[in-house]
Amino acid sequence: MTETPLVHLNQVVLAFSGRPVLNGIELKIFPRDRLVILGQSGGGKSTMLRLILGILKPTAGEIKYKHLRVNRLSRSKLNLLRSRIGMVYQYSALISSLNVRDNLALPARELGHKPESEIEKLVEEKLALVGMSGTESKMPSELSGGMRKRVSLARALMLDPELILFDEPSAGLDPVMSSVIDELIINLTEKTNTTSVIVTHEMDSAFRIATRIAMLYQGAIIQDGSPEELKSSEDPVVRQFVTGGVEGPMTEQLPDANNT
Amino acid sequence: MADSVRRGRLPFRPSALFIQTDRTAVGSVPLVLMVSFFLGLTMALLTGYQLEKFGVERLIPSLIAIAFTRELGPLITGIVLAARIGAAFTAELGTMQVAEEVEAIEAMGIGPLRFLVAPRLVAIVGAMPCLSVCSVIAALIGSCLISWVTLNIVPAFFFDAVLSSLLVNDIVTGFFKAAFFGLVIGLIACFKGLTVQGGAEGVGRATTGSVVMAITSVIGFDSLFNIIVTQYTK
Repeated sequence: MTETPLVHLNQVVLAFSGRPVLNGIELKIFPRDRLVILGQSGGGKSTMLRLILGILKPTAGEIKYKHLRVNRLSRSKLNLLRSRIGMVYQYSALISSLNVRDNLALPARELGHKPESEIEKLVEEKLALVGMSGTESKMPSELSGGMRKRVSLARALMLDPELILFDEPSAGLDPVMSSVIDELIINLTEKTNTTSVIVTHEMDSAFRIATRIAMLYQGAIIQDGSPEELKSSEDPVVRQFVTGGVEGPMTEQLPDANNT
Repeated sequence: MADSVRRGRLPFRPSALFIQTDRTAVGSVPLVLMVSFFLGLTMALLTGYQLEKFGVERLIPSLIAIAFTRELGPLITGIVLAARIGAAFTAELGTMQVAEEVEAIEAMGIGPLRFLVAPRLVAIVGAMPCLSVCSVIAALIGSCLISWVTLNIVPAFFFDAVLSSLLVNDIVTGFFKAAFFGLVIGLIACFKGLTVQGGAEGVGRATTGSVVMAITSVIGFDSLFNIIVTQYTK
């Protein structure tokens, strides 16, 4: 018997003012997957995460979360679904006017019925998980980029989500901090049995984290398989992306600077 | 937000409302008092100068009281709050929008309307009538002082004339007008903030637009209200 996917993007098409961004995406995300979505900058990777969260609605096609049709849910049901999904943003998106404690406590206070003492305990526990204990009273502006990413991850973990979405988790970080974040993603998702979708264009991070890699090119998934399959792929687009070569189909598609 | 009401939950967190009320109402008291005090003083001085020629300067207390209770109190408070609080709401929400904070709140399953808009809106609607009362009192004190000094109208006579000239209708009209202006300013400021596009420049543009639109709307609605009232309540 085949496993039921946690998320299913079924022939999803998305266009902004008539310009297609995603052209019939077909992707299944299974429980406990650590799926990395690779692709060029501006290629629609982050857009896919927003579609899963129901922040954007597809032009055509369907997004299913278990048996729920995400793009047809009412506002209240969508909010309920979102509380089961954690999201870590590229630039952390911590609420700048709240300290670390209040940032983490926010989803629990707004969506749950837990007493304040229990929320406090939960905040300490999640901060310890990401190695940020003792920063409860700090404001986001007092933290470095890596620390903000870790606090953002702790906030995403507050409601024990089934799925965590990471938008460029290592963007703007030095290689060491980038590896620390990658290890954190691996350890936490294994420890909590969480499914995760990581959007990145950094190959080192992708191969370190992924149990499965999907490659997005010109609005479609052109490769979906294990990291080893991606490495040995004969597809010229995949090969160029993996090796980072200047010559290849990807650069041929770019508009010539002299002619534009 | 509607869902919160259906589930028997307040459409905002009480602590958030407390914080917003503190900055909106308490924080605006000194500015409203100062502006209204000087405006009342100037108005009494200039009208007194004219009315003295006809020997009817004793009408100054009722003129100031009715003008400020029905008209200038809510209007001045509206303009001050549109500039001071409307701009702050738009800039704050706009910056949060640009930094993806609003989307992050939405992605957590928290309605941005309940978390960001409702406390601000309720705070400004509640603050406006209270600040309008402060404005009227400050204007009366200002005009009373100048009338005493320049026209020899003693404070006891002044306040006696104020109380005998004011009708409940004036007070109620001013009160509701102020609350309505608060709603207009709050809605414009929050809408402008949550629809910011284009980074820091966009926040600046939206903030200016919010203040201009809020002040124009307050004056416009005030004129419309006065036209309706004078035409249909003759």
